[in-house]
Amino acid sequence: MRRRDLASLLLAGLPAPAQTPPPAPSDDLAAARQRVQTASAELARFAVPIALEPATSFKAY
Amino acid sequence: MRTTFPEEFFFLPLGQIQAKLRAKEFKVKELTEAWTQRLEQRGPQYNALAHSLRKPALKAAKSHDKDFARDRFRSPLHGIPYGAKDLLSYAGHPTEWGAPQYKGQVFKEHARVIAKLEGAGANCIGKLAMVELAGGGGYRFPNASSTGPGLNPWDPTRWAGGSSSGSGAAVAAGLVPFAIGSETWGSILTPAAYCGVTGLRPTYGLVSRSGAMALSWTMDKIGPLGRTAEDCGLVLQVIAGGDSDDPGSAGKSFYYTPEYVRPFSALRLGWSPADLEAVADPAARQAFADATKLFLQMGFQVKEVELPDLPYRTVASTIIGCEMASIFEPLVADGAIQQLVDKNQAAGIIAATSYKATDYLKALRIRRQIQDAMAKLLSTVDVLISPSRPGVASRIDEPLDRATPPNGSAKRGLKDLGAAGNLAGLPALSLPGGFAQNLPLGISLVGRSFEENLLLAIGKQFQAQTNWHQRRPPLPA
Repeated sequence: MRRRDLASLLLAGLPAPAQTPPPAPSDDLAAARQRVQTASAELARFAVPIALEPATSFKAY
Repeated sequence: MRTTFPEEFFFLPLGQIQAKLRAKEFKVKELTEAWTQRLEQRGPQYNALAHSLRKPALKAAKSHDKDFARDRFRSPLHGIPYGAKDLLSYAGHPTEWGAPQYKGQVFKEHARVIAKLEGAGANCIGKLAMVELAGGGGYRFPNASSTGPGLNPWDPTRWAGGSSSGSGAAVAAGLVPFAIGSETWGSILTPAAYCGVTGLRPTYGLVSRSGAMALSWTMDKIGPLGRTAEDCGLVLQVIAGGDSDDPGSAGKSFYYTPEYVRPFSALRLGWSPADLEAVADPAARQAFADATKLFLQMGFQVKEVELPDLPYRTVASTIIGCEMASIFEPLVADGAIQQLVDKNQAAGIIAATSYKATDYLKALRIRRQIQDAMAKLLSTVDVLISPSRPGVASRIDEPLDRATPPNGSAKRGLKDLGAAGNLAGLPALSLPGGFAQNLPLGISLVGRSFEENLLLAIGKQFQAQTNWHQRRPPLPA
């Protein structure tokens, strides 16, 4: 519904139709996603030598 | 005549309990009966018990009594009861990982650790409570478990620590002589410190994870919580060893031989005064200072050290997040993740599915640098000491994700040793190291990979000079 349609309904004294906003992520989820983005950004900023391979098969040594 | 066991009996170290069994002061069945009853009665008061294993334990006890009658002793753990974190499978009995989604889950086989302990004659009397899914999603409150918040036997308004909450509380309250826990990032050392018991995080790969819930394949470790460093060494000797069913297995065994470590005067101990300055509570700071002084007086060559400047926490949380997101992806896909008690943890697991592949690989590449940095640091000293946690157990109604108070020192010190040690797969031993506000404090030793005997030897000597590990919490109301 556009703002001007809502205004015209109010002017006509008619009740506004129920608004069903799209489901928003919860605060917990938004905060958790923000933490992932922050970690991702921090990792991206950290420079590593181009030859450094990941420890994909992890062993303690 | 039925044996009655005095309260202090339930706090004896393993060697003394087994000596009494060998002297035939009582039968294994009587011992098992007494300890099972205690665990069933008092375990729920601390939310420490997930499931009693009374029936199979009493059945096994009868068989052990036949061995003892013929003077056949399988190991120093023969006939000794113990508890296992509910993350480890016990054949034919529930293994619920502390999470509502896995209520009633039953496996056909024992976890390798339990099979080894049972083979050595130890007797599992109960599955111990844990934080749901070992807490990898990041929980906000200690009640993040289908069994409720782990309550601390020293003060039930305080948390027992996590995620091996039941293991820490049950050992502290004398409900089991020792327990098995697991650590991905802090889950053995934290409950050991908060509950005033000794906890050993073994080197990555030393103990098989076969039959254990996976949270992070490259960081999960399984280890003991006990009354003393010696008890942890005796248990580690049984549970360590190679296992082709665990891709992370190092294929190494462990023999508890603390007598063969080099003299302390030939060893270098690293510590940082900044770690003490970072402790906010003055009473805890003084207690840590006193415990540190004791270590410094044990004859070591002492050196002040600092961790290199690397993003330890970000790397640890990214690796755990990415591996956990893959492991629990089915729960996210079908919406069952929302059944978790702690909504912050559910959100953390959902959000972790949005990490990029490049994030994971970058974290693993930096991890290589962290391993190298820790190896370099541990070439200048033999062992590092630092508070296991920067204070006493938090209140159970206190959010765990509250802002950390500012560090009192500009120096980095060893405050990220938890993340660094776990990323490098290094062993650590948390020892009861004093009290503040009538609550226990833990102090940790971290050493090189597979040098558990050195940590245990130092721990044994420390416990010969202190009595914090012998103190008992008040009886429950």
